[in-house]
Amino acid sequence: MNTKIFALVTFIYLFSFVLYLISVSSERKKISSVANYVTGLGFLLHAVGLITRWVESHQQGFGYAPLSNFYESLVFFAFSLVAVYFYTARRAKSDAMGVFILPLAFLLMAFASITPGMSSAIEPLIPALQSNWLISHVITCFLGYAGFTLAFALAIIYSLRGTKLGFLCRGISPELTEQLMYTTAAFGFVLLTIGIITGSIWAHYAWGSYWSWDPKEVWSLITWLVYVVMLHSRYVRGWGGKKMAIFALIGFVCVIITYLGVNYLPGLHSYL
Amino acid sequence: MDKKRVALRQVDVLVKFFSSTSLGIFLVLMLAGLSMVGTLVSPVALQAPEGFWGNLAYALNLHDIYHSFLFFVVALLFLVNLILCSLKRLPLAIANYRKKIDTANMGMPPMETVFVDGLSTEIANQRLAKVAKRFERQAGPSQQQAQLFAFDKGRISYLGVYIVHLAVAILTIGAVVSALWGISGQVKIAEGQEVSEVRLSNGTVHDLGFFVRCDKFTVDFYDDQRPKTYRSDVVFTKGNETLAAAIRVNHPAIFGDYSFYQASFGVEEGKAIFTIKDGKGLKKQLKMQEGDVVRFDDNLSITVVRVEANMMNAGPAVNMVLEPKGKHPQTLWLFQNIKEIARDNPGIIERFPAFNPQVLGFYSFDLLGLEDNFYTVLEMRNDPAIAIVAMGGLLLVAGLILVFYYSHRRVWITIEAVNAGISFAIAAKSNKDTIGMTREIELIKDIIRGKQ
Repeated sequence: MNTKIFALVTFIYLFSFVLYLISVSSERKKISSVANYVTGLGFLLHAVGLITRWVESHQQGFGYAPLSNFYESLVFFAFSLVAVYFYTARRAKSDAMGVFILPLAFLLMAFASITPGMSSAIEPLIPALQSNWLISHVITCFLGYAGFTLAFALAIIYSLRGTKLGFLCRGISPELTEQLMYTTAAFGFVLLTIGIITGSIWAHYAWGSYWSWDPKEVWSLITWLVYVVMLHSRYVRGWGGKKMAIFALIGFVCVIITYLGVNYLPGLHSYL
Repeated sequence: MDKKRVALRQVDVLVKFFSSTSLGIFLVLMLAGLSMVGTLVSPVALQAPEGFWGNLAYALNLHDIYHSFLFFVVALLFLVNLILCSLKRLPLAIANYRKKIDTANMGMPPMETVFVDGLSTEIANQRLAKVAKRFERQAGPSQQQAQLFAFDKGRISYLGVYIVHLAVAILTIGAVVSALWGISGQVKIAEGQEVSEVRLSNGTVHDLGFFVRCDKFTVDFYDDQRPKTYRSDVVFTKGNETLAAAIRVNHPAIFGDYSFYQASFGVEEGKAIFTIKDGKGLKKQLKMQEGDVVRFDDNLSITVVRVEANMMNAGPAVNMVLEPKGKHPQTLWLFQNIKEIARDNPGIIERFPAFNPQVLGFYSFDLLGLEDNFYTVLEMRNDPAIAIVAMGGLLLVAGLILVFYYSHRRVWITIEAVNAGISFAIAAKSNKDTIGMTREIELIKDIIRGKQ
C-alpha cells in the first residue's frame, strides 16, 4: 500500500515541477500558486505514505520507523527536501526555488522505485539498527542534507543570473538569493551538527566509540568543514556571494559523497 | 630598547598571522583535504610500500592519517588559530552584549508608519506594553523624548560564535584526551569462561582488576534467517561485589570505569555429552568441556583434557583422565563411533586400551555427541574524555542556535497624536536575519493595530 502512495507522490512532484516551470517561463503568478497547492498535496500524501509504512511495519510484527534502509532513506530525503523548501519559501515569500527542488524530489522518489535491486520491502531490523538513536540521527541528517540541497539550488540560481537560463531566477532578487543561500546552508549545518552528535552518541552505545574514523563519519566531517568555510566566507575580505555559491556547490558534492559514495568504501555504515 | 621593540613587533606580526581568518580557512580546508586523503588511500596497499610515492605516503603515515604527525600539527595550528581569532574579537562582542539600550534611533528614518484612527493615548500605551513583552529590555519614554519607545532583544547572539569556538576547542581537547588516555580492546570469552585481562588495541595486556564471566551467549533469528538479537549474559565480580548484566548490541554494560559492548561472537569446539554407567546400574549423563573436572562418585574423578570434533578422521572424541580412588590415573580416548572403529580395525581396542570405553572395568562410558560452545567477543572501553566530549557537543549545538537563530533586534517607536488618532513611526535594526526582522515588524504592526 505505502509503495503505491509513494508512486502517486512521485507523479505529483513531477506535475508540480512542470507547473513551476510554466509559471517561471510565462511569469504568471496564478500558475505558481496552483503549483504550490499541488506540491502541498503531494507533501501531505507523502506524509500519509510514511505513516502507512510505519503502521504496515507494525502489522508485520517488527514495527520500526521507516528510516532504516536505502529505499526508505531516499523517500525520506525527498520528504525532508519538500518540507524544508516549503518552510523557506513561505518564510521568504518566494517560490523561485520550486523549479529546482521539485525535479530533485521527483528524481529521488523515482530513483527509489525504479532502481534495479532496490528493495522496497519492509524488512526486520538487524541488531545494530535496533536503537532509538536511529530515528533522531536519520531525521536530523536528512533535514540537514535537505538544507544543503536548497543552498545548492540557490547557488545554481545565483550562477544562472545573466545567462541564457536567467529566466529561471526572475522571481528572486540576487540579495535574497544570497541571503537564503546562507540561511539554508546554516540550517543544514546546524542539523548536520546535531546529526553527527546523535550519530556519535549512538556509536558510543553500539560500537563503544563515539568516533571511529569510519569513511562515512570522515566524509560527514569533511562536509561539515566545507560548510564551516562557506559560513565564514562573509567575514573574509573580498569574498562575496560568488565564493559562497562556489562553496555551496562543493559542499553539495561532499553531501552526495557522504550519502552515497561512501557505500563503495569499506566501513561500519554498510546499512547506510 | 630597539631590540625589545623589534621583538615585540615580531610577536605582533606572529599573533596577527595566527589570528587571521584566512589562515583559519586555510587550516580548515587542509583538515578537510587530509581527511579526504585518509578515506581514499587504501590502508592495505600501504602496508608494503612500493616506489617513491608509496614510500613517501608511508613516511607521511598516510595509511593511518588521522593519527599521523601531520594531521596532529594541522589540528594544533587550527586550535591555536581558533583561540587567537576568538580572543581578538571577544572584547568587542562583550561590549556589544553589555551596551546600554539605545534610546537614540541613530538618526534612522522610520521604516514603517502606522496611523490608527480614534485611538486614545492610554490604549496606545497598553499596546506598546504588549509590544514590550516581545522584547527583553525597554527604555523610554523619557523626559527629553516623551514619545520615543526603544526595545531590544537577542544580545546574547553576539556571544554565540564564541560559544561555538569554545565548544570546538573543547571537542578537540576531548579527542586528544581520548586518544592519549582512553583504552580499548576486544576480549573473547567462551560460555562458562571467566577473564580478568584484556588485550588492548595497542597490543599490551591490561588487567581489569575484576572478573568477567560469560554464562551464556544467545543469537536469535527472524523467520528469514536475518539475525535479530545477539546477547551475552555476563557476571562481573570484584571481591564481594557482583553484577549480572545482559549485553546486547546498543545496550552495553558498565562496571566501574569500564564499558563492555557486544562486538562479535563465534562457535568453537564445545562440550562433550556422555553417559557413565557403573557396575551397579547407576547411570549419569554429563556435559563437560575442556578443563572441567567432575567427581562421578566417591571413587571416581574425571578431568576432560581435550574435546575434538573430528579426531583422526574418526569422528568426535573426548580425551579424559580418570582417577579411580587408590589406583593409578588412566587415560581414556572416548570415541562416539567406537563400535564402527572396532569393527573396521579388528583388535584395535586390545592394542590401545585407552580406546576402551570400559577401560576401568567397573565403569562404562558412552559419548553421545558434542554440543557447540558459543563464545562472545566484547569490546571493552575506558574513556576518560566522554564527559568532556559530551559537554563540547552540547555547547556546540547551543552556540549554533544562538548564532543562527538569535539576532540582536532593536526597535524604536515614536508616537505622535495626529488629528483624532495616533501615528506610530517604527524604525528597526538587526545584526542579522533581515527576514526575521521584517516578520517581527509585521507582528508589531498587528499589535499596534489591535489585531493581536
